[in-house]
Amino acid sequence: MQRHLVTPRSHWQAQAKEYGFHFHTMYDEPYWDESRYYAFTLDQIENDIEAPTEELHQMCLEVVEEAVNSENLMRRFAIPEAHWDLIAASWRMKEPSLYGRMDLVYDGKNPAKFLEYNADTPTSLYESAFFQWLWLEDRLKDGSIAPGSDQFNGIQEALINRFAQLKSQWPPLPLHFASCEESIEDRGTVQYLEDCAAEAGLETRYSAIEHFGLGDNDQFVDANGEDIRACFKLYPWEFMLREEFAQYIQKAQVRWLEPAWKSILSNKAILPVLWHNHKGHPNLLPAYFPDFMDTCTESKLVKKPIYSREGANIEIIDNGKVVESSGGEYGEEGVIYQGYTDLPKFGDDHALIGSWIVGDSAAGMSVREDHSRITQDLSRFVPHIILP
Amino acid sequence: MKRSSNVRRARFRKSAPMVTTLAISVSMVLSGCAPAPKQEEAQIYRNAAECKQVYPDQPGLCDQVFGSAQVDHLATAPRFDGLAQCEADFGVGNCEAAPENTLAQNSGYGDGSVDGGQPQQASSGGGWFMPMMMGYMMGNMMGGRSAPRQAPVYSSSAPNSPIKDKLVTGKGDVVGNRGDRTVRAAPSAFQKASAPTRVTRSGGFGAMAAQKSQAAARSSTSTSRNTSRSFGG
Repeated sequence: MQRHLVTPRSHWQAQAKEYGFHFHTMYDEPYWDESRYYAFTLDQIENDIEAPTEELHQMCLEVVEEAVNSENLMRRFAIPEAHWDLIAASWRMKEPSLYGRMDLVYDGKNPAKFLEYNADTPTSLYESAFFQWLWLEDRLKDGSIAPGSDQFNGIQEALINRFAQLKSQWPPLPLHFASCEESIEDRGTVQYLEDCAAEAGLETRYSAIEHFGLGDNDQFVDANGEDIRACFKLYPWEFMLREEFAQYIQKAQVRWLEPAWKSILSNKAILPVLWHNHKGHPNLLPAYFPDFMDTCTESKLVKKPIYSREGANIEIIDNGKVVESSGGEYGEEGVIYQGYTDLPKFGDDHALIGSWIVGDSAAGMSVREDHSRITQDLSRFVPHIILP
Repeated sequence: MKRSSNVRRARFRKSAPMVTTLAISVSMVLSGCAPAPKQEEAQIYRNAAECKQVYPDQPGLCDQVFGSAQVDHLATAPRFDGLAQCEADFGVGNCEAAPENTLAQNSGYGDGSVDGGQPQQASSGGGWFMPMMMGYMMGNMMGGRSAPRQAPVYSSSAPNSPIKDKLVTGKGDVVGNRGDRTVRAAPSAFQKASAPTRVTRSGGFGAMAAQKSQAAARSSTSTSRNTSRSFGG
């Protein structure tokens, strides 16, 4: 794993415009950053990222099975009791999932460490699956990377195949796509998924999540009054289950992507359960619920809200003292403690690996850099190659 | 190879690559005109096989569109409470029994007046009849980024029917004559014929996101971006 500095392609902004990548610069800060790229060996990708990702995914699914059978765990995961059955039923019915992204700490030498699983509303998908691919193709053409270089990025093909699979299992329903009205970034991610679904032959619609209405049969309807029968929502289950329409979810009978059981995976309460089940696993960091801190032997810890997005409300604690923290609006539902591990540093930047899962298979990778040790929403997306 | 063989598909391109000056000026002139009510060309097919003859490279899409039309037909075809009533409008031999399980969701059909002169419907009970689908109208196959629009179409052979030998959609828009292979239809003709769902409430999702955004905007200490942030992760 190495980082190389390189002159960006002269036409990349025009290309971003052509393909509708509107959030490459956000809030006057660069987000897509091709002034550098990371290079990995095939061995690193296959043995250190791909294989552990699939193993971790299976370990996480075991926790879902455990949690839906345990009131204690459902409480620790802060799932509102009124919706325990909804989640358990979605798991028992094996409601299909679409995709997810695990965040891993990896330095090219030591085993990757699992930080968390964005299994419900993963973003940075478009830039990983699509724009990063265009970058590689152009770089192979202009000779600035070695001929035969590859990329761990079968994400788009995997997504289209997954949608095709869903299409064959579902009755012929239009698939709605929903996100928060105000977020351009989320709209971009959802548009990309909508395009992938349409490539697979699904009929698609878009509706802002705020525009969902309730029909006279207590079904959800979009702004045009059309029933929502199947829906991909880039909106967290932990929000949906606490909002006014939560009471209608069960009756509305929507085929949700991601399914309700994903609220167990995307929840940081999964980390102490994984550690409890697989203590010492090379890809896990020690993790604890607050009432188990007497069993904790680490002096440097990271405190994370069980529900937190984009690195909000994280504290790095060294011997009981907070040495670094990020602000935010999360944490009231509970926290966990995870053993601290350094992100590898390249120049002034900390690098974080995103490992993508489609269905149950590892499908690709992304790298984000942040000046801070806490990767937040101002992190930058950096492309990667696999050395020939 | 560890990457997709090709991601560069037409659907993902959102604007023309590097438009020339000439093209820009032309498009500006065009957009300066007040557009006439837009009609789009649509093809009429009786089944997926006819579509495949025209689009031999798109068999999957033809099947999909035909399938959607059949589903819409079952869900939204006009309902009559007797075979005679249906045949009075659509002609002898052109009607079929409506499937039982679709009645509930269509119970409101016919609340509004229908151009084609079809009768108003009652709202419950069994033994309903509906016209057979003659075929379907399909919008431009290559035009959009999602699947082409479609609507089931019907025709009538009833001597006194105002829609005799016409092509009509489930909600009564006359789009052409029986036998037409190509018609011009307003976009509204593709809209579903089912009675508009009464929306009893809206805005029941999104409150938590709004609350987090507002709270973040109030706390100016954060160097992080504080509005319009992603709710993904």
